[in-house]
Amino acid sequence: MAETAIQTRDLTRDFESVRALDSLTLEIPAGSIFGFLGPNGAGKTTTIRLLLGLLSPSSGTACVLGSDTTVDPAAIRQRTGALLDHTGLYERLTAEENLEFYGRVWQLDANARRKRIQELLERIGLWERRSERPIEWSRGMRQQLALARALVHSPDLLILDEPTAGLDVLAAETVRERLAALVADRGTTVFLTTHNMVEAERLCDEVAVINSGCLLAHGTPVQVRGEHDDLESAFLALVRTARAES
Amino acid sequence: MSQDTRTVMWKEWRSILRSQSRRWRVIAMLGAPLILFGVYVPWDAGEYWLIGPPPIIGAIALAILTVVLTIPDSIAGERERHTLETLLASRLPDRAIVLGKLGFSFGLASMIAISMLVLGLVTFNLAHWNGSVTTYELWTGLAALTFSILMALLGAGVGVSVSLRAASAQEAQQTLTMLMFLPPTFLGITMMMLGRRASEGGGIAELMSRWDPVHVGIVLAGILLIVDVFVIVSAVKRFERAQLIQVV
Repeated sequence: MAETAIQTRDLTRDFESVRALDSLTLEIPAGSIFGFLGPNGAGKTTTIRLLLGLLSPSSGTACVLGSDTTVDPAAIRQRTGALLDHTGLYERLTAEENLEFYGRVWQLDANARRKRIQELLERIGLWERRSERPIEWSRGMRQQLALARALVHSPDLLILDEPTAGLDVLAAETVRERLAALVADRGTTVFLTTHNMVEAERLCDEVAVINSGCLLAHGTPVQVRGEHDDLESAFLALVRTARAES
Repeated sequence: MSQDTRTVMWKEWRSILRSQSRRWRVIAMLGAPLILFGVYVPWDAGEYWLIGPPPIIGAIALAILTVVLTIPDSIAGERERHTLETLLASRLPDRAIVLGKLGFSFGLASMIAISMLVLGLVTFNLAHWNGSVTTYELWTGLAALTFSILMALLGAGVGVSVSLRAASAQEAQQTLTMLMFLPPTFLGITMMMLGRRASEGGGIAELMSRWDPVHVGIVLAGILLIVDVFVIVSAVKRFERAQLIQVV
């Protein structure tokens, strides 16, 4: 049986009177790509923040890479790379300096850092433009750089909040190929949120659908799709039914 | 921890160097008082520059100005530019992040205040050369150095707390400017008025005129140090991921 990378039990988070996440129970195997699907405001970002130990749960538990998010969040962040809803790139630093900073954050020594930065920038075809500031780049290029930054310390878990949002078809496909290669080569676990159902269907080993903080379905894309033609139809049916019932 | 703190300081330093618009803004805002207190006043004031309050006022003003320009941008500005959450999602401890930002701002403020004092001394010696190098009167030099450093520390600590509450870097900068410049201005005006009344004689003013300025300075520095420790500890405690992420 595969090792578990992420395990949540009745994970709940309230913001005053609003329940952002309601009793989420999930188990995500290591070395898989997991797609977390839901409409805006469904609780996806809250879940990411809980998994990274940036927020404490109101009740329930989450265990990531063997560590409890409330007991040892630092150990989780040590082995995790994150690309959140904004690229988080420093507009005043060059592309190379952005990676250099995060290489220093993860305490890579100078030699390893230099090699890793060159390797990552060459892989995304931006090595020649390393002295430029990413603010002058297209969204696709910035997203690629932000993904490279998340990978600078070769994390065991990669958390991505809509990594292909706003990208053109080619750029999105490049990101997807990189993620698939990453899992195949290094066995990295990828937890991603997306609104792109085709992407989830093609890329993910497992998906979960969430609405208003409640888990509606969880399984392989084929299982979640059920009798529907595609994942998008299944997603719409699930969310509409949940909204009609609430 | 110290390596992490240095890493954050490295990033802050690079951010200032790399930002052309910001670099010129900082140079313009710090350059004017630096020339005023480092060149014009020592040139014009003569010996008074070495014994009087101008170097103390100048060093304090420059230190505060530097902190006002850097701390809000590095905390509230980072939140505004959406880079803070990614930083918080990294392995860096909260303390290393805040100490790195505090350390950078405080270090830069102290460096600029010291540069102004050195520049003032060079200018004075060039303008009023008497055959040998003249330095500040001991207590004047010490007061300028001590108070500028203590005020930089105070400004950095207050700046963190203000930046955590402010909606934007601009708001944080305005609030910090008000908090850091208004009290010393009122204190200065009050002291001047009391000084005038002391010369006329009577009441508290007369009592104050009998105080030894060195002793007053030592007591004030002691009080300021205690306040600094309290403000810095409180700023470090407030800088918590869970608190920050709510407002990101």
